[in-house]
Amino acid sequence: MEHDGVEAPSREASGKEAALVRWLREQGSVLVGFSGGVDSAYLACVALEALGADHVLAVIGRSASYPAEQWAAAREVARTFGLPVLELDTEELLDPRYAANPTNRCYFCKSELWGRLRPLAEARGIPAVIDGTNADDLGDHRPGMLAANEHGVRSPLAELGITKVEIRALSRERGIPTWSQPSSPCLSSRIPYGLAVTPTRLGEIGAAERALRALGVRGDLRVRHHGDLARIELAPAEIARWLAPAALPSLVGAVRTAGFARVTVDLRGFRSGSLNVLAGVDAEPRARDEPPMPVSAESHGRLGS
Amino acid sequence: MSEEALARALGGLGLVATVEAHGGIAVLRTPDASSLADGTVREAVLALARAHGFRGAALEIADAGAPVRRD
Repeated sequence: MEHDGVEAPSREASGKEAALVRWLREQGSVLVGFSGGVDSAYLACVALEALGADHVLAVIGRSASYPAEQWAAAREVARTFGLPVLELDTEELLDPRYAANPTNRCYFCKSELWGRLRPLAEARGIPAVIDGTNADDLGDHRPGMLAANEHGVRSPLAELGITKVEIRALSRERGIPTWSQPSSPCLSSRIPYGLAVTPTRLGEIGAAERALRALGVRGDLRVRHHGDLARIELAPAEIARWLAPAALPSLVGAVRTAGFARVTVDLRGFRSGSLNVLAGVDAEPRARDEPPMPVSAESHGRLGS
Repeated sequence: MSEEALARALGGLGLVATVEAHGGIAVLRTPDASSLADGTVREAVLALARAHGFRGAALEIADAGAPVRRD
C-alpha cells in the first residue's frame, strides 16, 4: 500500500529490520554517530527500542560545515524519542588537508569525527560505534568510509542491505518524522574540489540556502559555490516556478545578499554528486531515491545521514 | 568546449544567448530567460551543451531589477 508516495515496508524490508534488531542486541550497547538525518535517526530509534536508553548514546558532531538548523533538527529527533544524546565540536576546518578540498576531503572530516568518537565510546565501555551508512551509499564516491573502517566503525544498515527506500518506509511506519526529509550532505560538498573550504564560503552557502528557503523554495536545494558565482540547483519540479519573470528578481536578491556577485540557476536541477561529475570523480549520478514531496529543510549527512 | 559554437547552436533552437565556460558548466545569458521555464527547452539546451563538451548548463540572472544582462 502506498501513502504519500512512499510504499509501506515490504516483507523483505521488515525482515531486514528484524535482522537489524538482532544485530544491535548482539552488540550490547552502541554509540551512534547521529546527525538527525534520515538514516541515523532511523538507526538510533531502532537501537533505542532494541537496547533501551541505558545502552544507546547518540553523538552529534557539530561542525562549521553544517548549518545550525542541522543540529536543531537532530536535537528535536532526540527529544521526541527520548534518545540519550551528546554533542561535541569537531575541527576539521583547521586541518589544511581538509581545507584544501581534495577529492578525498571527506576522509579527513571523518577521521576527525571518528577519531573523537571512538575514544569516547571506549571511555564509556561501549563496544560498538555505528553510523547510518546505508546499502545505497556503497556504490558512491565516499572516501569517508575509509576513515570509518580505520576506526572500526560499523555500518549495520549497509551490512544488512537496507536501502534508502526501505529506511524511509520503515521510518514512516515508526512515526519517525525524518522519513520524508531530503538528503543533505555537508555544506563543503557545495564547493568544487580544489577550491578551498573556508568559513566565509560555508557561511555564504548556508546564508544563500536559508534565504532561498525563506522565499519558499521547496524540496531538494543546493547552492554550489564557484567563487563569485553561485549555481542554484533546484528540485526539477521547482525550476519552472522560479524561472518565471516575476520570481527571478527575488531569487537573485536572496543569493546576492548572501555574498555572491553572480547568480545562476542550473538548467538540469538538483542531482546528488553533481560536483563529483564536474570533477570527473564520478560518472553521471544515478537516479537516487528522494522523497516524493520533501518538505523540510535538509538536515543530514556526515554521520551517515 | 566551444562557447561560440554552443551559442550558434542555441540560436538554431531560437534561443539568443551568450555562453561563458565556467569550469565544465556553460553559463548562459539570454534576454529570453522565461523560455527556459519550459522543461522541453531546457532538455534541448542541456543536450546541446553536452554535445559541445560541457558537463552542464546554467542560466545567469543579472540582477534583481533586470532579469537578464545583455552583452
